[in-house]
Amino acid sequence: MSEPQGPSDDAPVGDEVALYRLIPTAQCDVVDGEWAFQSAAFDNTSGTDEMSIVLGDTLQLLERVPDDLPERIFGGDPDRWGVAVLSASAVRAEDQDIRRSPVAEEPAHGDVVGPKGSKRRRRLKKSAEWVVPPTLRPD
Amino acid sequence: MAIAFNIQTSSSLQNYRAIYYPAPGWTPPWSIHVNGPAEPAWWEPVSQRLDELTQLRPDWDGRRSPPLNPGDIVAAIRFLSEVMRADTPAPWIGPLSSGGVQLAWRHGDVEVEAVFDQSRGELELLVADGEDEREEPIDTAGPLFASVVDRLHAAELAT
Repeated sequence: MSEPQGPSDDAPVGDEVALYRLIPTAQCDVVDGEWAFQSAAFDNTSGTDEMSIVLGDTLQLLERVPDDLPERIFGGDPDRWGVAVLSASAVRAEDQDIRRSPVAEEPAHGDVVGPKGSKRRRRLKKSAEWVVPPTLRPD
Repeated sequence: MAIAFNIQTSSSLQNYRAIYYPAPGWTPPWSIHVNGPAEPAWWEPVSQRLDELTQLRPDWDGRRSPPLNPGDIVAAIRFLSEVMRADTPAPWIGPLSSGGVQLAWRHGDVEVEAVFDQSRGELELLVADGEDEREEPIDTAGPLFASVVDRLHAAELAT
């Protein structure tokens, strides 16, 4: 039996696709004893115009769920990472492009491409929500 | 290497002096010291958080992010020293992927974010009061912060 395959790298990303963003606790506040991500978590990788994400449609095709992302991507310290979800449509409303950019360790990897000033980061934060909060217990 | 500057709260007559002792080449960790007769209540949580954040190593987020830029920390402290009242709650403080620093407060409908990111030329204050959003360059943001500071009292940290 063959391994499930993801979409091709140039396959379009539908507006309904979930985009998962891994967020470290360093970019989270603690509110009422729970981690709350801040807008700083929705920034581009340093020196680039790309923000790393994991594409929900590829995860689905690979028969995986977002819950395993912290362990899979940050196996050495997974409890300090949570997973927030954004919709592709909300990201596009911010004049951002979405690219599939699979890497060996994460075939569902993608990027949200475009400038992300402080106001845009704030709007992205407002449109996001946790699907997997960090498991590390807040102090 | 050391940087020294005066901190003055906007609401008290007391002066505070902050001195940074970064390690050679700005490599963290370095320590932050404030000398003053009576520190405002917000200083302890702020300095404690900055101490934590200055321990961040390169690639702290697995995405090649650099450690915090000391110049952005200095700018953030300078801003706090200029706009905070003695009883203003401490902000949430966090790192940007660029090495910049972000401050945030929230209480009710009021949300305040201050961004210090000299590498990208982002030095600004954002204030959202319900649907009304305003922004101002940090250098001239004092009046904008002052317009909501009373409503941050007894605030919980930002969400």
